[in-house]
Amino acid sequence: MSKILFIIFIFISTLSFSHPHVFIKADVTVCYNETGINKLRMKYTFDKIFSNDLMQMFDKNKNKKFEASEIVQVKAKAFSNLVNFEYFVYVIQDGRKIKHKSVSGFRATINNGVVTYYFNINTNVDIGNSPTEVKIAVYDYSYYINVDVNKGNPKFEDPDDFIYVNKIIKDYKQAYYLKQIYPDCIVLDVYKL
Amino acid sequence: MFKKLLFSIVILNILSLITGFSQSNPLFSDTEVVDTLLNSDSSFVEESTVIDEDVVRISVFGKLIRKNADLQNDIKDRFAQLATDYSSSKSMKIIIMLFFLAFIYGVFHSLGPGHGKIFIFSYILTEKPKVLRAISISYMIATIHAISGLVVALGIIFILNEYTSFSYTSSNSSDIISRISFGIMIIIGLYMTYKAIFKKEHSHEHKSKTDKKQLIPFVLSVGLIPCPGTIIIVTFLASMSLLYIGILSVIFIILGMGITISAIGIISIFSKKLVLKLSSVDSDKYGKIYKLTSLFGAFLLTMFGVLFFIGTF
Repeated sequence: MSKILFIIFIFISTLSFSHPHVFIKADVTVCYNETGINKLRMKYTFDKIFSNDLMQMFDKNKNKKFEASEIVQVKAKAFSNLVNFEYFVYVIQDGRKIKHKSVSGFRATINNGVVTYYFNINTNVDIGNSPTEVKIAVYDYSYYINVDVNKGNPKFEDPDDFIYVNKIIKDYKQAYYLKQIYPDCIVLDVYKL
Repeated sequence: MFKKLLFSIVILNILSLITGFSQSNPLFSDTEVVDTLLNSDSSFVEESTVIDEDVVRISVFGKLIRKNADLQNDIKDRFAQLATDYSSSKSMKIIIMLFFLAFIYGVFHSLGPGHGKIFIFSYILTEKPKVLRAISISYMIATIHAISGLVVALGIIFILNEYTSFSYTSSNSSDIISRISFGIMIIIGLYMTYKAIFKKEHSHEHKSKTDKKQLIPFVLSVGLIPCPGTIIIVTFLASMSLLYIGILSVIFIILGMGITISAIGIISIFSKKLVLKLSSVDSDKYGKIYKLTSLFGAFLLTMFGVLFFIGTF
């Protein structure tokens, strides 16, 4: 009987605790250098209502633009904490996680009441002459924020020395939130010419 | 022995559930966080992390959760668009559509975190309410929950933003009130635990009656947690100078939320009846299971209170 109660509880509690509160549409540009992938240009577009909150908090002069001084505040108070969440970006090469090197170039814009963040994740994914699988998953493991990768991603910058095929999958191997949510994951099969 | 072990496993699962879910917005911090966590060695490869290959591939809940999230986002975006349209056109048709969306939002939003569903479930495990009572409790919770959200929203609009230099919004201001609510929840849960342990167990025929005095603090403790959906809608509309529409929308959010919470309550009642029916052939077993379900419900409420409380820091 306890097993039945347990199953009922898990069923109901799972239903009872579904996040998220904020929604992001993500765009990713994969940038190559001579050794492999050295940068991911990220673009996060927020939902209208959360955008409205960000504007109320940081668009102090209410001109529907983020000036440089306002962007400094956005970065400090509504972006920098993402370091604890790996900026929602997880890079995996042949099953091994690659840590980010640094993050740069943050800016925030307002366009028609929608806030967008732009930033670069500097990384170092070595790609040689043998084919390698590079996965770039984009998600908030706490699922406070729902992150979807837009269709048509990724875009590429300076890929001339590399041969690749790419696709976006729902990656069950990186399931989170009680292993129930499969994140959007860009998969690159790539090698150097 | 087996039951105690299983009970412990259940509690551990609850702990892991809660520690995973009672979190704040990952974007926000009071001060700038320095990127010291980023790797500084030359390889940037975390050798120890190998991605788990043995994850179950079927995720029905995941799909449901994601569908619900997408739907809520869609509703919120439409809501935002309609509010913008109304600002320029002042059309009555748009107001009706806004109220309808508020109702639908109430239904789906309350499938999200909180909103008293787990508590009505715990309560039904502990007590023996009938369907109508479960529905009335559900609507009481929905009403107090939404009005609590409305009060917070009005507090944000008229007090915090008037008298402080920081711009408070629905995203960054309900923590303090949540802490107070979770504190009340702990006290009620402990009381229910005490009742479940020390109350004399009656025979199978002699059903215990719900203590109305106990019901009021229970409903208050659950309902006082401000509804984040209500806060979002009201503060958003207020920011567009449509506060009165925001206040009226709360009525429709309540109607929608009540449906969802009632549904969980009714499912819980029939689930409990089923479990007890299966064990009713043996009165000793019935007594033990009744005691166990009561204790389980009370313990759930206490633990949720404690962990939510911790989670607000």
